[in-house]
Amino acid sequence: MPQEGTPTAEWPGDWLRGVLAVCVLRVLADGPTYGYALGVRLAEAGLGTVKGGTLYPALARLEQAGLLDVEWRAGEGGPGRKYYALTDAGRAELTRSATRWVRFAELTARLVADATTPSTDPAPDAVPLPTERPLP
Amino acid sequence: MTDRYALEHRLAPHVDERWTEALLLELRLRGVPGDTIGAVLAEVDSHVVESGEPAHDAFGDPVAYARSLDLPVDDEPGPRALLASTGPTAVQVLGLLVLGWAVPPLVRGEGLDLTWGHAALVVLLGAEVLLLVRHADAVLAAVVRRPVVSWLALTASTAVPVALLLLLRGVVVGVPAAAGVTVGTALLLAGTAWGLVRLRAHVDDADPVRSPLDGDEPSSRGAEVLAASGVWLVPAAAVVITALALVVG
Repeated sequence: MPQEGTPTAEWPGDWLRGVLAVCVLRVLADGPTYGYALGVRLAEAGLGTVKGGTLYPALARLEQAGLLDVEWRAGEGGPGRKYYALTDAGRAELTRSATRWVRFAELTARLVADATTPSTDPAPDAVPLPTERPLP
Repeated sequence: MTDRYALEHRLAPHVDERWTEALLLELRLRGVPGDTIGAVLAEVDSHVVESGEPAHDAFGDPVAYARSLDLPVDDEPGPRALLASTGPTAVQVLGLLVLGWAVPPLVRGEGLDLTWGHAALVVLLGAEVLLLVRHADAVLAAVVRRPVVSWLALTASTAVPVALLLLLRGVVVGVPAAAGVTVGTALLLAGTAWGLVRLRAHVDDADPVRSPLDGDEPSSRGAEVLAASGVWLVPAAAVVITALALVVG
């Protein structure tokens, strides 16, 4: 648990679930990797920690949809790892989703732009845990 | 001393065994193929090792995790295939029962009286077998979730046919005991032959839960011997019981 005074980097679960697929596809475009390493990449990108219970089902869905190929490789001195790689269909889906997502984000940002507070946080990717308020 | 968690320890050695057991059971109940289950467990194990997080923190409730994976299940085996898988043993047991009824009168030089109780027992047992075969997963889930009710049901399912056998003594027909012995032996042989045919055809190679990293492991000799011995269990019992009846009777 984060201590008092340290910024927490927690995005709302709804948002993360929405973008997880396209983000996973994008990370895999850099080359095949396995679940844990993928989660680390996503965290480094500022998305926060994606729990195994969320990440692996998402990977399973993408695999079943034919967007990913899998290959088991022996781990380095540890358990074997399941590597995921983009298929051609996966690459096509990445392009399609990324384009649409960027457009969607632009529209959303434009809509809410004047409702934001200026950020003084030196790490702009990390946001304080928002208080939950239902949208009007 | 057998290790209750042998499978869990082998496939996910770094994960809390009870968590793994719950995941394994839920995936089994959902009808997920054995290879896929092995892959799921291996991936959990790998993540637990690399992240240093216990499975419950990283993956949450094992049953919920199993459901969220939404894995494809084996095609529902058709009724013929289901029946065929229990057929050999059922026929052997029927043969054993008939022998049990026919040998004592034969030894005593009497005829064999077939009663309504006999008929009721055969019908009820047949119905129970069909129920188990068609709804194996549901029965298994019920046993896990409602153990007391399941135990009561199991007791009743054994007690009722036996009670009927003892109570319904009205004779339907009398047959020569030798005929009963012949029928019983024939059933026993037929069931055994059927079981051997299925064994040779590897129809029932049970769906082993295997790690995807095992490669092409030949099934152990021990497992093969065990499978083969299963077919001979009932005939062996029949031989012993008949011998006893002949000696004692």
